[in-house]
Amino acid sequence: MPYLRRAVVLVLVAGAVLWFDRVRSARPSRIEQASDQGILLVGNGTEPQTLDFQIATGKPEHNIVSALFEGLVAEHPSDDYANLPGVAESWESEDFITWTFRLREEARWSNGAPVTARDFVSSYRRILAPELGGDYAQILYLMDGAEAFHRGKTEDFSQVGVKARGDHLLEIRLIGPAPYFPSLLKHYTWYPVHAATIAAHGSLTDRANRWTQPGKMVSNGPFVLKSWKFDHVIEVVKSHTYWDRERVGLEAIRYFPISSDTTEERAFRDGQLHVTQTLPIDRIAHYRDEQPEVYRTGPQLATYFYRINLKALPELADVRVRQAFSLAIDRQAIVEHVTKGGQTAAFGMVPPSGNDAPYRTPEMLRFDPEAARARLADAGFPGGQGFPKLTVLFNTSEGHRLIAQAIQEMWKQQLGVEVELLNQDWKVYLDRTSKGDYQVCRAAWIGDYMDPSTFLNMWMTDDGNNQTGWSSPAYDGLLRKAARTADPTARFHILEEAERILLEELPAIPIYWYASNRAVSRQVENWHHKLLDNRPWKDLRLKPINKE
Amino acid sequence: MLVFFVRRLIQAAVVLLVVFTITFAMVRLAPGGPFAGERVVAAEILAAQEKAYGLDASILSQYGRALGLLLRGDLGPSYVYEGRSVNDLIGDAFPISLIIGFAGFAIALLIGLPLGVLAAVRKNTALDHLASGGAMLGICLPSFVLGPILALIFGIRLNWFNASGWYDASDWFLPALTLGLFYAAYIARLARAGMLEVLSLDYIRTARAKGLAESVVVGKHALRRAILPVASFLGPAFAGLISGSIVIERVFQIPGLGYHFVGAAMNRDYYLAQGTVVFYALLIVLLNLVVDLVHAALDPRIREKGGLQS
Repeated sequence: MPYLRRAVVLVLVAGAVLWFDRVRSARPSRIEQASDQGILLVGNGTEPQTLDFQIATGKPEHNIVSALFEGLVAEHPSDDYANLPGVAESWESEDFITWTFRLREEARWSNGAPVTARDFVSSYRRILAPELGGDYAQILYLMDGAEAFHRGKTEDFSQVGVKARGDHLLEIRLIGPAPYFPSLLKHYTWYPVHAATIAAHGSLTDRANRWTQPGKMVSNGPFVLKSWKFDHVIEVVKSHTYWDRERVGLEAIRYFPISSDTTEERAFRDGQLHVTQTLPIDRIAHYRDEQPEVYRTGPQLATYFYRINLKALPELADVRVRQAFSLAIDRQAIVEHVTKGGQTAAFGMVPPSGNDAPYRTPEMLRFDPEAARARLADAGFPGGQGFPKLTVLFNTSEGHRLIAQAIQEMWKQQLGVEVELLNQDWKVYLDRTSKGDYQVCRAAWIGDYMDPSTFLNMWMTDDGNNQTGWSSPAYDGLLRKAARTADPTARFHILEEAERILLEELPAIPIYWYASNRAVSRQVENWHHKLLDNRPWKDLRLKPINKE
Repeated sequence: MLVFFVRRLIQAAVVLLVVFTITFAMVRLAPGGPFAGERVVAAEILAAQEKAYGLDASILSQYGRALGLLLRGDLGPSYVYEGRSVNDLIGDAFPISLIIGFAGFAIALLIGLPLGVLAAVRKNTALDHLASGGAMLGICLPSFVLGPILALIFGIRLNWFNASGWYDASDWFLPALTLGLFYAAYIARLARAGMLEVLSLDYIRTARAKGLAESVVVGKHALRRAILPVASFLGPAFAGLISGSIVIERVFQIPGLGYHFVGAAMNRDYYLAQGTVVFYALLIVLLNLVVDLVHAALDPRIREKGGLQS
């Protein structure tokens, strides 16, 4: 009898499990449903700190803001160099100093108001207001008078080189000729804000102004903000007032802040995402070999390097020592065996930007242990004898640690130099590097726009991001000269000459250039790899799954 | 009883003030501020950012301001998530952590308690070894291993649940299971130990001698006392469960409270860091109070002494 009861219970339980499996496992995946509705599901790294792009600094913020707002110049779906008309339908400049932008009359804010030249003037006034404390406002310093206004040297905004000449004519005057200026305008710091909306929700320059909340935000891009669930999802939907709405291929985009790459990859496998932000290193080989149709990889405009503090030790002020350190690093081994994510061994500071790129990075860095030893011996430390023990500082991360260990081993093996590793939490690391309290530290730089100056300006003597104590009048002079040179070819030659000085002197030792790795589902059309990873969201399309 | 209650409330206020003060000091002593970033900004701009949030004032006046806000129930603004208050952030995240924590707690009790009792009653049998071994495994298996395994099996392979995310009414299950299994293991061990001790006591022998059925002896007489150690563990455990776990939240992509504890400290988001700690301290204090009351209800010896001191 008890056996019968047990058998009945067993059958009931098994039946319940089977029933549950039938009901649950047949659920359509989230991307199936979303694809049919034209909704793109995107993994977006971390939760955005703000959608007020005038105080934003990060990539997750940029991805969302670039769907909501549009600048004078727009991104091309695949070509990083191409400058497409955005709010400006055309622009011209004879000397590359004074630029005139003709704004399209049909450009509208999401509240229906026309986008005018005055909107751009008031936007630039806001981002440059010192009280706002915009981190990235420095990108506008190319505009005449912008730096003085931003740093509080003058309170007269009429001194800044931006003028509205009528509703649809905007004039921008620069500090010097910049042939690449239109490409710079694709950066979000140059987008317009609707000042009246911000003012309606508080002070224009209050960083905590809540104008970026759904229902309050007024934007001028292909999408408008629909909802923002903190740490869960941000949804933007197609704008009905956007001038180019016919071309907008998606009904909506949902951005999911998934900071763990393994969780994101599981979400992709679970059919929750069309596009991931990245891929875990140990899954890259799987996607490359087994699912090449969804695997997307390519170079990024970003450099990983080691800063050397010339002020920390007299030995580090000796250029031969720095050269020896650089020659002793086997960069190929690092990208092949340590980082393993498609990175390229760096031969210069500025990452190459395509085969037909106008700028050629000088190929100066190589791995040559013989030469490294000779250089260190020249400096008075044959076989590393008498060289003090060095400390390499990096912010806590497994990836940085592995690279630091590899370099520690190379310097010890090739040069006989003892290295100690010191990892610190991110903010402590920043505090120490900005105060010059380190000997050697890991660092990275991501390009903001398609021009070598985005990697070279920071090494000028008084640039806050130099942080190495290195100062070269020749280098500074060349960069200033480049800033006054209108002819693009001549200008690139000057910049190349400057980079040669940098790579000869090596206040920073470039290690590798970044690559992006992600999974993009087959439903997504028109997704191209881009060096800056900035894409015009309006060009993306989704194929419904059942029509495959 | 009332005196006891009031005394505990005063104690709680003092504890909270101390916790608040220590946290306030600690987050500000840590090097690097909320606005430090990889790109160095001009000193004027950094100063403007600090001024906007009152960080240019003296540390004492900042303390006074934060305390004043706290007394009004306002935990202050977040420095990192511009335009959001700490109250908003905790208010959004806590209900989610509460659901998952509560479910995890229920799972832990439902699995842990019977398993522990069974193991004690069937001491040194295969069942006991299986239960104790399973409990040991549960304690040793960290949630960043167990979580992905459950997500792979029930999320991706069987497609019973979403592998991660906070979309559907069923999304609490896998994270709660991951949390619950870990705590179930603890509860099982505590319950087994407690039960073994009680079963050897005289009053149990008396109960058996009276001829009571074994199920009544164990279920009624022994259990009440055997779960006292479990009950003491449950207070803090419950506070830990409902205040979220950063590991579970990152594995299952849940917008809970756990992330703020770690993220705020890492970001030097001063108000958020001290706000989450004060909130957590409040939970602990309240739940310990509840535990004391439950103890009194379970154990007549505490009730009779009338002391209720713990």
